[in-house]
Amino acid sequence: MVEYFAYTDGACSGNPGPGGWGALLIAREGDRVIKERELKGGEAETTNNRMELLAAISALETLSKPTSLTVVTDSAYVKDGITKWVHGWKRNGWKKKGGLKNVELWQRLDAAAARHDVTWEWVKGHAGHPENERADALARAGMAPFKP
Amino acid sequence: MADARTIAFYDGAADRYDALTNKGAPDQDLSAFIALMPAGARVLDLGCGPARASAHMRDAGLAPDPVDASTGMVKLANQTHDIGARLMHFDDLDTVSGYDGVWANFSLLHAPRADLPRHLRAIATALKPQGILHIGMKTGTGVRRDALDRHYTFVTIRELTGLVTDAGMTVLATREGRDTGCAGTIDDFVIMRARKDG
Repeated sequence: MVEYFAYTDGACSGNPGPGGWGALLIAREGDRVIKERELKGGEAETTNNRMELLAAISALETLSKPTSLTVVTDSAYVKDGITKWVHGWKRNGWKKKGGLKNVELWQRLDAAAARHDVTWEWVKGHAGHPENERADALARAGMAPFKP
Repeated sequence: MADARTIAFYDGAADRYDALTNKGAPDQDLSAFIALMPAGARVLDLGCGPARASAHMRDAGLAPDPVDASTGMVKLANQTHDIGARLMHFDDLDTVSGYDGVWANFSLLHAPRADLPRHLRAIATALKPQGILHIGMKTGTGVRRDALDRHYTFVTIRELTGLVTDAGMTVLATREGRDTGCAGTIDDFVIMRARKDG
């Protein structure tokens, strides 16, 4: 049985500042990797949280067919936001006390995730997780064109 | 100017191309671009093909101006969407500060490399101050003609960044990926979003 994973990460130099995002999509059959795809990008002026969100959004939006997959992020902001907080925000018309930051990205992530069957997983960043390290490298490469 | 053989392909295969590239809903880049545009924004859809992007823009309340160098594509665009598409080559662009946005989605890659600086300067001139350019290009080096007889100029991200910057725009964001094109080849690509200075 083929299982699909998306490892996502964001990076930012300064917060705000130039940033990047990376996503590594892997299809596995048992221990065997049968397909990989790398995505990355960056922005001139952004925040780390926005890049973490955009990494997950890009991974999900790039899948043209509805897919059952696990998204692995090292961002508790993304994982908790999409699995817990988003339900309250939606009930309140995408509002929260004090203002909801990055609302357009949360709405995009919510819409992208709704097209798929997503299991969200958090891993500690920079802790030797090989795919997370690769996603981090992609994010840094995505940021590179915007770093002076 | 896109080369004659490329235009001939699009003239002869407009319907087939439209069917191959029709994704139904706006993709992530078009949605993001539309979100950046002010209400009623005037947008040049440069190399519009069947004008599906323009149709989505119109649905979103923008005022697209779809243009293409292929008579077949212009005809199909107007038959399908009644959207005022018109025949125009890259070299015909002489608007000054007339557009809030320019959508050049994998169209300028059909122009010769030597013409890219001129075309990007014309785009910058056509944009209003702070106007937004979306450009999609295949990344790499050299030029190739694909199995469908289309000419492609490949650019590196550094090269495209330089071209856009030299034309008077600031690169805001990039997205890089890999996709299978109509000719069946798998190519790397970049989507770049830039803002006109001033």
